[in-house]
Amino acid sequence: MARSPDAPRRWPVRRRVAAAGLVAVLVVLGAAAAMLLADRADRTAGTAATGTAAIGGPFALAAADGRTVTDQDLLGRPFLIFFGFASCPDVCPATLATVGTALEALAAHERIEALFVTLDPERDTPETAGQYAAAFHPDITGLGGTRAQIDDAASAYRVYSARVPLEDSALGYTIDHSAFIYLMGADGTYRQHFSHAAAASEITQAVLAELER
Amino acid sequence: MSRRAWRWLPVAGLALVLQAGAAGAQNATPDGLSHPTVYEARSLGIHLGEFWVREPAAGASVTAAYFHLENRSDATIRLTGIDSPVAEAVELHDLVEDAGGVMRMRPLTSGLTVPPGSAEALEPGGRHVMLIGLRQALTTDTVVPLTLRFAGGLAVEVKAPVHPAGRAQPSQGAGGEREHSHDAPDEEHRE
Repeated sequence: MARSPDAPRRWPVRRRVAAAGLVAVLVVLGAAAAMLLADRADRTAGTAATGTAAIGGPFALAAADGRTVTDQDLLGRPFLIFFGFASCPDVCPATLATVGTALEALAAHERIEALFVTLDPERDTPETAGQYAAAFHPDITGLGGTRAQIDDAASAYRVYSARVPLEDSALGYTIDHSAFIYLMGADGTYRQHFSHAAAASEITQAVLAELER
Repeated sequence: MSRRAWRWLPVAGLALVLQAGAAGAQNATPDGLSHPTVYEARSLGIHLGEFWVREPAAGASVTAAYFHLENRSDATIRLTGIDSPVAEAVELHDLVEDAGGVMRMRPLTSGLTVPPGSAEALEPGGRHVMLIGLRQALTTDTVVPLTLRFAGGLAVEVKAPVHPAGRAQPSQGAGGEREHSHDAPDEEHRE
């Protein structure tokens, strides 16, 4: 550090300026960190206490019988919701069968709803979705709708979905999609989600806990 | 002729012997060829088992079939395709789940290659046989004929029982895949 002859007089001033600057930066960083932490704490508390996480929200979809089912229709009852498509040979039927088994175990509790939403309006009409879902359990309501209605619902639930052409398959195209089962509270807010590979008993336990809230 | 091709000779030879030996036998199939059974395929070092088909939802036009394939021969084997009279199309599919939980299904256009000493398990949540355009209702405990075609011309006839959709794995091991005209012993259970 080369110092000029007048350095002893000028450096302290500079240092004070530098120190003040550093303090200012630290204050700003600290405040930002505090805000972030507070925000995270809010969200965590929100998830646990009131379920205000970002999963879930308004939707309007078509049932097999022609009626429109919205998030408002489900208020007052917890519900399970899963997105998939009827031409899915592996994950969707296995997951719906798991939901069906969970519902079977919850037969005495009629306050739970279960919804299957197709991500494939091109192949699955609301009737197709309804018939498909009911094959796994009569109480699973299959829903469809227009591409826009389905995209809105998938977006509300943070479901990834993409139509992917398959040149080398008789299927023509497939739907890449995230395959979580969501448990929503009676107030329509997110409670928790399950893997497509979850055991039915895990879902049953979570629903029972939710019904006892 | 490449060294690789020569390695196929024993498999091809045995396939021919099996087909010739079985000509006119009870397991002759409508395509005019005779196919070895799962039991006979074992003499080639191809061990097949754990066959089953997921019961499709009522009205669904697709479903999946699963099985295990173990290569105990000293040559690489390649399953090139599968036929079944119950579906318009039968395809081998890969299914991969990424870190974000997104499931992506893609056709295995080159088939399934199994090196010597290796095994391939087609199970729920992963690789599977997809039956597309079902021609008939498949209900639990009906049996689906499948013809597994291997590179080199070998075709193995199997029968896969239909199990409920919810069942991750059949509770009993293989057993439905036997050719009915043969009194094959039960497939041994793998560890």
